[in-house]
Amino acid sequence: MEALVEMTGVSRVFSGGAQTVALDGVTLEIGRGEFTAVMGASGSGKSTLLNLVAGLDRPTSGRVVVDGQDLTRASETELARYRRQKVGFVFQFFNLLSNLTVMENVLVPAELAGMRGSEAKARSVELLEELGIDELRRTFPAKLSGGQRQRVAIARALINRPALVLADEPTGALDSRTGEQVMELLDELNARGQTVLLVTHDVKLATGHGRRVLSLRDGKIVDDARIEARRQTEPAELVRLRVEEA
Amino acid sequence: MRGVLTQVRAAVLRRRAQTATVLLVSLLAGTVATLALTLLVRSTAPFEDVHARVQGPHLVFHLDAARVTPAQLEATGSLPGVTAAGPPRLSAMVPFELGDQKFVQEVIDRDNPGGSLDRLLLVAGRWPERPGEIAIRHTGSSGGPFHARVGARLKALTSKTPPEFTVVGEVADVGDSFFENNVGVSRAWVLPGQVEALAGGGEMHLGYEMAYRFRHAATADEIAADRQEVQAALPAGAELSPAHDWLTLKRGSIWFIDFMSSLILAFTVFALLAVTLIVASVVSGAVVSSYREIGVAKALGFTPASVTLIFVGQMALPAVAGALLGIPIGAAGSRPFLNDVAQEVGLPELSVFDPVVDLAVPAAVVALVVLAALLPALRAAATDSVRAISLGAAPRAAHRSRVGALLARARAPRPFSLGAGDAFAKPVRALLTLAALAIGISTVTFAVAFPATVKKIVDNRAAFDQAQDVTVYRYPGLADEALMKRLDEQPGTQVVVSALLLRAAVPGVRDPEPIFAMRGDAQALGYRPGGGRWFSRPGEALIGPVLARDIHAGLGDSVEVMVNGHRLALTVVGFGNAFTLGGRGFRVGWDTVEAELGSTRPNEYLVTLRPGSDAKAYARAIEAASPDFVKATAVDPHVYDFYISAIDGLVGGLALILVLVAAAGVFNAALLSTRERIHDIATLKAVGMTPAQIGAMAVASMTVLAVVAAIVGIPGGIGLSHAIWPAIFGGYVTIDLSGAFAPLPLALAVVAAFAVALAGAAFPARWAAATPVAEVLRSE
Repeated sequence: MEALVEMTGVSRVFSGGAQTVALDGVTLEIGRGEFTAVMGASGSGKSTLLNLVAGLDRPTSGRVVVDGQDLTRASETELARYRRQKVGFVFQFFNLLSNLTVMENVLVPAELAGMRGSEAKARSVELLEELGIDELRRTFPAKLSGGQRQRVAIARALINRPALVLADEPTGALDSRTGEQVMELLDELNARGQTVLLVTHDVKLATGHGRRVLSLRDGKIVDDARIEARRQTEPAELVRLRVEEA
Repeated sequence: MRGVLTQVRAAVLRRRAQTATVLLVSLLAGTVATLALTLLVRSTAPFEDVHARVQGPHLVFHLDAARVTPAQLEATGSLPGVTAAGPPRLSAMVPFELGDQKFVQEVIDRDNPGGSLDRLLLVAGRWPERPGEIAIRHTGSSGGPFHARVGARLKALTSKTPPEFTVVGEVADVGDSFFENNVGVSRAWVLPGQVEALAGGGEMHLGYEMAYRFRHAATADEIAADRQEVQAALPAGAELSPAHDWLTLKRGSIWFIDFMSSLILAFTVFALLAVTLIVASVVSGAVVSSYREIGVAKALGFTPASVTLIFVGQMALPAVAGALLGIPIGAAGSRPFLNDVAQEVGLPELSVFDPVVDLAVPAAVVALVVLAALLPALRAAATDSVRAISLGAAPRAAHRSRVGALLARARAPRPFSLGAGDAFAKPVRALLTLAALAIGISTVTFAVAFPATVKKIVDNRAAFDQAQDVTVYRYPGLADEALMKRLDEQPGTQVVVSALLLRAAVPGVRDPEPIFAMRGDAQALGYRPGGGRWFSRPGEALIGPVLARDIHAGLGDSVEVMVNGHRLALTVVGFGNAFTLGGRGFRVGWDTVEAELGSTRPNEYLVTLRPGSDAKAYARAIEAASPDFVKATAVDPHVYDFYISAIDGLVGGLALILVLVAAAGVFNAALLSTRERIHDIATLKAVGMTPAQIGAMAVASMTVLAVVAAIVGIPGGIGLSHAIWPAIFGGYVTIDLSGAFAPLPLALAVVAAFAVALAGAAFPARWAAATPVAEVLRSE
């Protein structure tokens, strides 16, 4: 499988008073079309890993390459362009812009990427219809339910047809039923070939939807398991790719 | 209370941008207010100090020695309101020459500088001890209308062999002096007997100077009553010229500061208003950003009153510091002007610190800051603590920005439309910031047009009775006809207008009014009426606008006046338009006075030269022909340059201060907006907005405010000009403001608006662009 994300010996150390090693020499590859869940307790480094892949942070050492672009050496402007063209973000708390309508929120990345207005509009309508929220296009986020907001966020993440969708605890602010609906959406996207990197502390979520589950502890990958069986019919049969000693 | 103080201290130290904003605007306002009040309060200090020390007179009468006796004058010392009087001293108006300078002094017999009234303070040399010695008034470093110091030898132009006097002393004189018809006349003193010898016949009038102090003489009305009391005790027609009162002299010693007071006060009011608006905005922002903390504080036990004190206190502390810092700066700014005043009365440099001003200014600034902070602080105190803790942040209503939507529809770049749409997201804050910005723009508009307006005023030389190239004064000893013949024959002469200043008694007016009679084509010199038309027939007159208001006279009205005992019937055909008469009196043609005052002749000759003529050479040639009886001076077109530069500098400085205040307001608004939108900013960065685009978004928000502020502020500045100039000149001179607001000055004002917006938003824009996305989006 072609690698979309390559991390080589990546460490991230936060210094401020006491030094904190958030990631410690992580090396991994994520293939194109994979649905990878990164799992771990609070402070395990999973969010840091996500931020480095998103270009929102820089490693203290090591290299991060996504879709052929070395993020380690890129400037802030280059990283911003990378994010708008190659990455779609789905946040735990949605992070919609409160003074823009649903449609306008979805259009923001397209406008930043310079997509033609008519094309952007058509694409956003297509996405909203797919996600079942087209009738809400003129509504403000404050009037939407949690699930509806997350669907808007997913539409925003997909408008530029990114190579990679990053989902940071996408169901954390939702009830279980709504959360399940959102995860099914991500499943469908992945089934169509979209590469998804999901960060969660929820084991059930990670193993129930991810094809590959990376477990992090103290900044290191302690487990890298591939899930072959479908979750609905058979218990998961994990195929371990690598096991780190505790 | 300790808990409150701890919170206040923590807020002041932690919220550095807020503290710096309040400190800066308080400092600026404190500086302007201190400058203004110090000038207004301390400017009269030199005069009052000397006046008190020397038992200065409240009124000085100049009486005709042919109509009143010393015994009659001494008897007025017993009038009920009089506390000190006299003695009557013989005096005469004597023309002098010093080198190539000619000037007139009121020479008075006096044997010593002491006494119980009108003591004279020697600041250099000694009192005359023998005939031929003279003491003169000290006139500061400039030397005044003539440059004479101890040791100078003056020639008295009273006869064909002018007697000489040696200056042996200089006196700080606050008792009497006047400036009339562009001539400054001050007092000089000789030993008794010298004045009579100088007069010796001819056109010189011998007079008596009689000084008085009264029980009540603190106000113009009291002075008027005192004047009437003395006049009633004197023979009719005894006054040679109006008595001079100490209040007018005091105002005259600070004429420049008086002139500037309207301007200075206007700027002070604006500065204080802008500070109030900005502080209100700062506190509102602080309340919003501290929403959760307020809830926690109340949950812990802080009362609503304590919460109010916390917010008011964190504003008051930096306000006190800023205002106190502004005091020495403002006082230092007033120093050059006050030194000028002190030198004029022969005193060394004055202290520029006044305890009343130094207490009043910080008190006023802090009071305004407290007032501005009070309403938002009370809102904070009323916060529902449970809601505040659970929500964590102040609730934000969805706000649909029309501006943002319009720009988005017009396909403006997204960062710009988002930023512009945010401009009025918090309407109250936006309006407060807009108001402060509009005040700054108004003052810049006023300031950029100011030099052009001042230049227009100064270029209208007829308004200063300086429309001519050469001014010639004729002294007794040379006939009018002879001088006119000389002037007509002199090469270079183009137009000669001769004139005489008389005094007229006007019904219903307390003091005699000036009446300026002009012979010749004054309009060819550049004289114009301020309304109506120039006189063209005997009996027609221009009336000063202030006098016209006082006696309710309008165009076409008739006024009967008495001049030197003769009745003149005048018809008002126009209004005067000159500074020199102070908006009072009349201008008439010579034919109006000739019929009644046939023997009277002009003594001032205003000469316009042919193009290319040398005015100084012309003046020298005229004087050379009759050196003892003529003073010819080339008009100096740059005589007001110093004052113009001082005024332009002062206005420019004050406008700059207000612009800085406006920039501080913009900075505060941009910072608060950036902080409140930090989540949105982080989201936008996460979805691909570059740091430059984030910065542009922050600046765009303030740019919208700048556009609106310019739309409001520029007409405001124009309106300010139309209000200030009449206030400065009391409406007695028509100020032509057309052309003062040319495209370039207005463009400068617009540029200033945008520059202020950019300057104020620059740091918050950079801060926004550097927002740590990961940190923000993960924080809860």
